[in-house]
Amino acid sequence: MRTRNFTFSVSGLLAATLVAGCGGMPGQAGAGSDEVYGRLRGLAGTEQRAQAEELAGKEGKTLSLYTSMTADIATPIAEAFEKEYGIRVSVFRGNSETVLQRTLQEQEAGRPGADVIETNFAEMAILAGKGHLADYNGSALDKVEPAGKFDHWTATRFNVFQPAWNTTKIKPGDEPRSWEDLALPKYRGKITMEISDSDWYENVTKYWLDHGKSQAEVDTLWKGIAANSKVAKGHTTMMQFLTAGQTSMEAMNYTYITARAAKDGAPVTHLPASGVSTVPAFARPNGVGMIKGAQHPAAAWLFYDWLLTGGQQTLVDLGLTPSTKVPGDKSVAGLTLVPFDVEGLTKDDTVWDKKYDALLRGADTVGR
Amino acid sequence: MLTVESLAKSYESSAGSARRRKSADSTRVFAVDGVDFDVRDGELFTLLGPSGCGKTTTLRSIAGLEHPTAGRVSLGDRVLFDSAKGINLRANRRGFGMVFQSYAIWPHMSVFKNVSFPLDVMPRAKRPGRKEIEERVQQVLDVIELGAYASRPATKLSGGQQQRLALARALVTQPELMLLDEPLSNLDAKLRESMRFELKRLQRELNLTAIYVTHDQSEALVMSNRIAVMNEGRIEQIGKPREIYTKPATRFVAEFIGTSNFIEARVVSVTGDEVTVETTQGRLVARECPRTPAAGDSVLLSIRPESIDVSTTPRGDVPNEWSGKVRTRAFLGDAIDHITGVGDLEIRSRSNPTVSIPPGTEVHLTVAPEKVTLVPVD
Amino acid sequence: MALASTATAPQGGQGTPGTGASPEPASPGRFAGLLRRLLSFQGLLVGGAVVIVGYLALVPLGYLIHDTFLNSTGTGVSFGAFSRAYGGNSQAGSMMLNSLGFALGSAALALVLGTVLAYIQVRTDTPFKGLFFAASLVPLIVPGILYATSWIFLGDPSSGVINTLIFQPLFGTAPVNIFSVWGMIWVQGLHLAPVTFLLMVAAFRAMDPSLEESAAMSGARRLTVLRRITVPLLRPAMISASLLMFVQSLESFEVPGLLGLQNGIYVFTSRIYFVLRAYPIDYGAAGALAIGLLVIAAAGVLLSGWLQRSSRNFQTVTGKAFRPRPVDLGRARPWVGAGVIVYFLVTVVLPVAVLVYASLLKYYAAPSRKTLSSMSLENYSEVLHMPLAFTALKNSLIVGIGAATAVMLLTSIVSWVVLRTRAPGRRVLDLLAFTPIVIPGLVLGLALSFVYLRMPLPIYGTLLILLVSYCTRYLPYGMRYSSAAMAQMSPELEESAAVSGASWFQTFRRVLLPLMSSGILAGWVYILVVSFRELSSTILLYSPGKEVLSVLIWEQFENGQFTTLAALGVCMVLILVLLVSIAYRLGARFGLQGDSSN
Repeated sequence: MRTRNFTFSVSGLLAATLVAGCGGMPGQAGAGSDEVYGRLRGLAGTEQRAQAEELAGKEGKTLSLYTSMTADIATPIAEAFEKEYGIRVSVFRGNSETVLQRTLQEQEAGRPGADVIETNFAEMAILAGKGHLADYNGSALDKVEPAGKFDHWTATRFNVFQPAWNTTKIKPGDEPRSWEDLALPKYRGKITMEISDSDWYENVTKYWLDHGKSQAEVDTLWKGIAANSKVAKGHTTMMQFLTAGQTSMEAMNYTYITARAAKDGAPVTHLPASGVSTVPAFARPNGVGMIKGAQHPAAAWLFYDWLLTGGQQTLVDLGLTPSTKVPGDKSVAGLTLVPFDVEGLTKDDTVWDKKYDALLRGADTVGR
Repeated sequence: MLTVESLAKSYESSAGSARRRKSADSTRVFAVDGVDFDVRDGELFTLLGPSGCGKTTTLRSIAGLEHPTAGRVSLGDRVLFDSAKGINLRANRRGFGMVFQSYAIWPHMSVFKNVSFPLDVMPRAKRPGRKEIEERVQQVLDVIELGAYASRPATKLSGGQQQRLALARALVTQPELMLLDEPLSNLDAKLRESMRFELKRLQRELNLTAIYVTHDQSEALVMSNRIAVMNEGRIEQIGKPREIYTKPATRFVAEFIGTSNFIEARVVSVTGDEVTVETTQGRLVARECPRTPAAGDSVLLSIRPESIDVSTTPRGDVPNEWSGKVRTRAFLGDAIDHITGVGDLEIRSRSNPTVSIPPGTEVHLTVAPEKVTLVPVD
Repeated sequence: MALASTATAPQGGQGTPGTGASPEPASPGRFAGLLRRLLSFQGLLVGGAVVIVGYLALVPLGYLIHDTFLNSTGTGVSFGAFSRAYGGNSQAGSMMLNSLGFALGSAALALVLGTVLAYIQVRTDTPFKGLFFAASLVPLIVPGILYATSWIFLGDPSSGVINTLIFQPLFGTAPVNIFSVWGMIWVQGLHLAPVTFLLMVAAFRAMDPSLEESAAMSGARRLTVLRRITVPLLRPAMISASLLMFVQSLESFEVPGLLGLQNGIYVFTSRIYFVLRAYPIDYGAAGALAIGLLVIAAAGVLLSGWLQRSSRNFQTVTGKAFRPRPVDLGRARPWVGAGVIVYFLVTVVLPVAVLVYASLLKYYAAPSRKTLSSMSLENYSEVLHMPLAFTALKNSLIVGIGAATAVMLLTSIVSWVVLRTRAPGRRVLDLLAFTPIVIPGLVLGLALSFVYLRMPLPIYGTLLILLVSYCTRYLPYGMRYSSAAMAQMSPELEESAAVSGASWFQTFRRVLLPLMSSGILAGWVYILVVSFRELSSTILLYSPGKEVLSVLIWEQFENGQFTTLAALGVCMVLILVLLVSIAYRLGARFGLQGDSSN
């Protein structure tokens, strides 16, 4: 990105002069936000919230949130926050990739559009790694489990990986009891895999290797699963076809998507008839972070704080898995939770992407 | 009134290779190669020639639709184009009327709108008022007898009516000069015939100055005040229709205009305006000659078929007489042609249809010396 | 830029490229004249259009090329991206074969369907002419995601309605499999046929039937006339249409994504999708793939240019007026009518019925007594109560109409430059205007946000950036519609206006535009309709409060509310059909012989 200005002028673009001339126009609130964040950090835990509320009032009581939460979650979240603090939230919704790209573009141009970001693990990690997030040290952190705390950002909820199936197509007793079961010949032609689930692929592979399987055994299992499967794009799309009975089973979907469809009366589930799943459930953290240089830093701080406290109840009400203990949370009932491999995915993401892609295409993985 | 001086238009030779721009001039092809003429006030001046001779390019250059490579075009003291001075007035500033071969009637407008267009687009300062435009359009439509069709869509007119509409559109601004590009070529024979006279009548009555482009020599002869015969980008001859017909300056003109008997000959002697020539079938006397030849010159005789008298009895007392045998005859309706073998020559003669001589008959051909034209051989 | 001086005389004439405006030895007077012309209204308008089009196309292209050829240190040129994109285990060979097969097949299907329909609609006395209108628009309006999904419900090999309700009971087999290359071609071809239809209707309307009649008079049978006269005469429009279909199929992702992936049929765009969703995004590899597309598309443009080289011989709109006379179908009439009904059923009724059916359910399930009894209008009330529905509709209308109008105006000027002048670089301009078609939407979005985030103009974060994005994306389509319309028109029609004293602008406005109106309107409708569903760049560029309908649709899709989405889709079809009918009504008033039947 650094050298793009250069290329544009080389390509003789009319805009080149404009771009170069006006390049890096600074955001108006850049310096101000650092000061606000700093001031809030410096206060005692008990005073922070009141101070933030006061400052947010001066900022104009608005907040810009970029998130990959779907609209049916983002809207109630925004409404609940507005009700609590009287701060109007404008929400930009996109895929996690889009949220990341847009934020990076704006940060690099020095024109931050977001005050606070809420999106998936990998994208949050990248934003944090690039130094675009400001630190939060409020009391809300106390309730968050250690697995949900990261440098510069904090988990707000978990997306839990489980298989899902249509109960009219997969009879009781036929359900998968482990990830290995997906390779069973009885599922031939019945499974659908999602094209972008490389994080699931990585976690399962790691889990197997850590639990005594050899690389060769793991490879054979994956080949078996791939041979049983067709490929689809989009978790919600897959769920449509599953509810409609077009497909029988999904190798992996997020439990909240399955649960939500089931709530509408669709014949789908991620739990066997017994109500207890023995399939290791990986919980991928999604989190929140405050943007450096934000226009409304105090509101961002409030939202961050609220999403880890009062907002957690709203998340539970929407059927999501919260990152703190919330009374009445049944989203992980019957699941065997196992740790999510944070480290592996932060390091070499594209390697897993490429391997997973090769697996789906049935290509050799010699390229690595 | 309109003067065209050494007008030239060249293209690069091979089509489609515009990008490979050759610097050498040798790759250029001249569509118009140094044309000079002037058009007088009130006359109908015709550019006549076969297709590809450059007549349309010349006309389009005058109209401003083509950008000539060199030369000068001026109307009175107004310079329209001058390559030396870098002047090239746009087509819409030249103020001419033009009728296209395809009529170029705008299919999305009514008859009235088609005609009023040139007035509608005039600069605000010069544009007549709405009422006047209406009057003038109606007037022109009446002149060309389309008055009753004003509100119709232009597409609902017949071929002849469209042609007249195109004419009306060109006339409505009362331009100083009308440009007509084969306006009759799309009409059927009968309509063409009547439109010729119609056009001529209009031109005379409205005292129009016009340049007329055609490849039809009879059309040119009937309508023109003067004709320029063009060939391969150059003008071969300019003259009144009668001159062009009776005294072709070149073999091309003689061949292109009407039919003619061509006989090769050598000049024997020149006395006053009488030239005696020797042909393979004896001597002839000629009196019409564009250039004075000298004894010993090779010349080409051009004799129009209708100038040759055919008779079964010898005349004896006239200078130019041949005898031969009729080979074939052809009935043309208003005339009859006989083709007579005279030695190694074949002579076509044309006469009144009452004279009809069966093939094989011995006949005598005579032609007056003033009807024998000497065409120089270049 | 010597446009202005050529512009004085549209030198259509002989088709031999000449010196045109190439400057003669410059004398001061000549130079001043040139300058004066450049600064004239016409010079500004034409020059402005050319600059805008060039700018729109160059921004994303520059971005793409920069990322593709720059090596990792950012200091030199490298071709590593190509080996990453095509080398290793990428299966580039089968991917290209899949892409080409899919694109060629869809283009051929769309071309045949669209042309036949256009012929029947314009030239024959077929019954049910009114149905064409719907058949030509509905597949275009239904978002690709929904259209493909409908076909999955219809054509799934095991549970598809066509197999279970028609083939299984009647023949005992289930031959229809939508998850195959043929299935992809079928869905894509049907989805694209309207584009061909719109282009070809304009072409047929502009063609003088007497050209066919004269062939019939010389003893040719109807099929011979079609083959020897009609088809060759329409060659420019047909070439334009097939090129467009071909490249659009290459570039589309909805059908290959939904239908192809199931059985591992990968194409260019599924590779690009894969590359773009990883982080850090390998822009180089994505660019290398896009450049592969670009090369294929450029080859297509050049081929079509070559095929059209003699298109001057195919100018069918001449100054000679004609009367459109429908061909009497005679005994074939009922059969053709039946064919029209079948086509209408397959392309409109079936998919829309699936949508309407789905929109009445809580979640989609194959028709049964249980589902039929649980139908309700709940989804529609949900759509009406969406807080953003009306904002999004308004914004979509603003941006869609704005983009359609801007693109058609720009491209009609630019296609004039390309086809009617000998300005140097006009072919480059033509090619350039075509490039946005292969730029992946996300790359376009990134390029635009990169540029406009750094511009002190209020474009980023407003609706304007969506307008810029749509203008860029649909430039190639506008260009095809405009140049097809322009190529058909005899230059004498412009020349006669010039000789009549009309300035360039008057000629353009009063003669060219109305005569091209049929093609321009078709292009306008197309852009309006497709801009309603543009998502890939929109999703990156829209701002909160500035949502458009496609964002709403995407949200419903992401929420997994297919049934609400279906309701939204049905509403969108209704709105656009209404809108387009109005456009045609208005257009018919100004245009070339408006077809009375619609």
